[in-house]
Amino acid sequence: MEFGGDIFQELYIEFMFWSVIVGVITFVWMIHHSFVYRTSDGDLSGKRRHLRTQLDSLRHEMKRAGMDMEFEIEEEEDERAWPNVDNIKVGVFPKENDNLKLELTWTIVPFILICYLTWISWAPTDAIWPAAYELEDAHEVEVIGQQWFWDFDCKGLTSDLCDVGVDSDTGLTVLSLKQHETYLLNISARDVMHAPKIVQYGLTEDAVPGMHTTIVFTPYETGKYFLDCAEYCGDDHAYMTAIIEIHA
Amino acid sequence: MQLRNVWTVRAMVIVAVLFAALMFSPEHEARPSGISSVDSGCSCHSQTASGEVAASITLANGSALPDSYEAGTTYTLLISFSGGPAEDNNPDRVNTGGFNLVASKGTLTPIDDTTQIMAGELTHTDAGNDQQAWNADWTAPTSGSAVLRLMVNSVNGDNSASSDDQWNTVSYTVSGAGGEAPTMKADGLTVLFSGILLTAILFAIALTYVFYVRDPESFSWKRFQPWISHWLTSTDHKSVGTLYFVSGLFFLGVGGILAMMIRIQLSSPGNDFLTKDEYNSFFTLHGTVMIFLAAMPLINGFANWIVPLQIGAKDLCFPRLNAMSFWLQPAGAILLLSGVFSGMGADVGWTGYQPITTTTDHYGATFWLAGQVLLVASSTLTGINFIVTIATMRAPGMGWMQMPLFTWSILVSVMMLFISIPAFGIGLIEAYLDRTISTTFYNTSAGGDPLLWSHLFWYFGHPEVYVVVVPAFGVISEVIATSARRTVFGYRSMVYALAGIGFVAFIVYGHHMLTSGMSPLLRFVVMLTTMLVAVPTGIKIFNWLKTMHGGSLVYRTHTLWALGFLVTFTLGGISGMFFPSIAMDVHLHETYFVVAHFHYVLVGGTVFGLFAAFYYWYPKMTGRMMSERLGILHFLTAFISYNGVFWPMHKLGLLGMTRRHHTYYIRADEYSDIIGTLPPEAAQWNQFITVCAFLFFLSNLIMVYNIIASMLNGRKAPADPWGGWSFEWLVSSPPPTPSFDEIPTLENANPDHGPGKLTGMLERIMAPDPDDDGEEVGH
Repeated sequence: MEFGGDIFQELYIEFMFWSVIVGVITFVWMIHHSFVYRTSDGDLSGKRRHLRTQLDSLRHEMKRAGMDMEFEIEEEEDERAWPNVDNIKVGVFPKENDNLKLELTWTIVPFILICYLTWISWAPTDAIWPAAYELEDAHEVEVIGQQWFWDFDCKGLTSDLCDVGVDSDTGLTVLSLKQHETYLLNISARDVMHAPKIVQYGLTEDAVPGMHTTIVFTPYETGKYFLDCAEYCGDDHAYMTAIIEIHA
Repeated sequence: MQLRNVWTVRAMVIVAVLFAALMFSPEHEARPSGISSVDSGCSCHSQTASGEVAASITLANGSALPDSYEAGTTYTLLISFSGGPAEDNNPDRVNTGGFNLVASKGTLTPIDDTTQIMAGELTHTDAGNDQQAWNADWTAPTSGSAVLRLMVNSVNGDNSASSDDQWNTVSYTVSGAGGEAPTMKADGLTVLFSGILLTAILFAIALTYVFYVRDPESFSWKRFQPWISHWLTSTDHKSVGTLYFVSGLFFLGVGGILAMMIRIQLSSPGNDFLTKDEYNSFFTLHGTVMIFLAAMPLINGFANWIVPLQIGAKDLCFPRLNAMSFWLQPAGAILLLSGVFSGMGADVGWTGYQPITTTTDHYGATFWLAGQVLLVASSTLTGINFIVTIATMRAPGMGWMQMPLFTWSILVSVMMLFISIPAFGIGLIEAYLDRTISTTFYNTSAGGDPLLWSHLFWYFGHPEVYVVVVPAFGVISEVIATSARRTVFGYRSMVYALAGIGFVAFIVYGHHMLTSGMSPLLRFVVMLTTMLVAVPTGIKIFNWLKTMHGGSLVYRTHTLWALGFLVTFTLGGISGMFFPSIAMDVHLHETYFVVAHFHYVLVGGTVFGLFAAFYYWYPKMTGRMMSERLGILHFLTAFISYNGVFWPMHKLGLLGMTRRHHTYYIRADEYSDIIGTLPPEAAQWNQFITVCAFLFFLSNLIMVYNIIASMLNGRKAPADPWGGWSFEWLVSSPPPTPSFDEIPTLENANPDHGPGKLTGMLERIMAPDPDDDGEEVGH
């Protein structure tokens, strides 16, 4: 199993696909424009460059003809050394540059894309928060957050279904659950906000004092899984960990 | 004279009534029962501690408290007292007494209903009021010596606070597992801030010395006094703007140093460079300093400098109010950070979630709340000032739809700020009252609701991140259009997109609370509205790209920063699309993926936009050109190292590395069979991030050097060095004071269609009354 659980992985791949498409469009567009339409400050506008060349050839011709004469052409004072497509002048609101069709395109196309993304994100929420009638067979386990440890209460379930112990290697609290059984984790907090996060399954829900929140958890692979606290809760926030052990 | 007397009498009567009200108001009973650890909590049972009462803590099995504890062991304590009126003249043995026990380390836990935990301290309950001994558990900490301080009341039982009652206190010190003596150690944050303060003072002294050495003759108070009084009292929008820059850049440095300390701590798993207390304070202050004391002042700096120039006004509408909203900032900053010197800086995260903010024993949190109240006041005043200025002081010819886009972005930004920040102010004041006078807004045991804070905070907090990023949009619109020598593409849709972002900002904040037990229906609504943010933002990005089409792009430093902004902001925007999808959010919530995303938006968006603005408007503000060579060096180093810092964080977040943890777990040694801990390469990525973070920090010093060096010996700047069209390029560089000798008129290269319906309506509402003689209007 990859990080975050199967639902996360499916959505992640789909979102990545569209992200790459949007990213490629934007960046290719940007790189293309920033190279094709580049210019440097000394570059003269086409018209002026043309005039300069003509002036130079005139000088050359006159020299050849033996006419020793210096002349200059007075240049327009305000002439800019760059092409000024939109005739931008200080103190003048510039000529508008728009195209309704294009603007509507990049309003409507992203809108359709986000509607699609919302739609594909909608269905998996049923798997994360099933309706009440689907939870009739679920085993309720209480998870209580307290600074800075997790308290598990099996609520009278048999020790095969649910058991609390201590891990011999790490000294962390272990909650043993059975594979392929559905558990309703009933979450609350005694002092401040916490949030149990079953990292590999990608499940997080805040533990709010004075409130009960839930996670529906159906472990489908055996092993020892890391439980973390994902809502900042004070000094030992990083040490507020436990292990969920899944057995067959 | 008569009048003045009346006023004096009235004022005195009001004060007297207030005093009387305070005297006779019933003593509030915010705490349901029990007493607090503050000395006055016991002195209601007589003023001084009495020797007749003897308090003691022993173990429940009768033996004395050990001199040193076993780490992590739970001891059952017997808390008791003897002597005093409870034994002498309390025949019924009711309301005999109470106690309060504070453990400096370890955890106190009630074991029956006679004791309870209140604000982290153990005290008796109503049920435990009729006895003289109580039991409770104390779980020893892992290291360090712990002090248990007990206060007891011996009460005569007449059910009122009477002077017959007596109290006493006693402390026990239990040393750690190794029995080592308690050591005093300065908090890292205190050391760091003392260092910063000292450096600033030394720097000021050195600077003064340089001035003295250069010209000892003219070094006198008489010459110095006008300079200092100008900066302290000026109400000119340009001077106030410069003050904003100075304080903003200073705190950008402070926030940066805090970030470096955080990165050193995280460079390897299990690092002990910072203690967990210190780490928690560091990331809290990093967030608060960066948002409120760095980003907002820098934006205000540009708004102050540029907005009046762009709309052709001589100054802001309320210059004095403007100076006040600036001076509230350093006052707030000092208040906010002074908690650090108690050795216990705020350790609650910049979001300050409840009830941790009201219950943490770090005094810094109180100062942190108080300082932010001042910043809220400052932002509200700024909001009023800019809304009124932009609405009423535009030059003739400049309708709403002829305003430069930077001015539009500031208008949208201050509108959002003005509408959202009162909610935050209310939350802060409630939390402040909870901490100081024990109200119970966020105390669950007394019926308070911690989620109230989350709502108030995020109602403000989400618009707030748009408040800091929208002005960057304005800057980028100006920079890209000017650099490409074109009109910005789709001016109208740019304005509508800005307004759209401003509107959507208020209906999406729920996505910060998707995992706080929200109802499934609301989750769906929030998902949809949050996704909607992508539409106006997308319009802006595509419009910027189209602006370059057919132009002639000149690569100045600000152009590079604007293109860099396009890259990072697009990436940040795309990664933002992963969060509203709830099924993904439950995994990504509070991981480094979030950290990566918002740094891509806030650093890659706001800060890059501000850098572009610095390079773009620097010639206007100082009259000097900035060194392009150093500018390009700054861009290259900063852009590359910046991506090195935040790009790998996406990966770490996906692997499940949780934010705000002072350490992390690597799948090795005893954790090797625990799935969900981080793979070993995560430690290497963290090290890489730390190195890049230092490079990013150092590369920004190039800009600071560039700013100072160019100011001293840069080339003289012309009035319009880049070829923009708005009014700020009309005046000389630097602009005169007042900024315009006469108000310019904006011409329009487009055919005049007359005011639109909406514009006409707004004009009627906003325009000053024609009968008014115009005296009060600011210009």
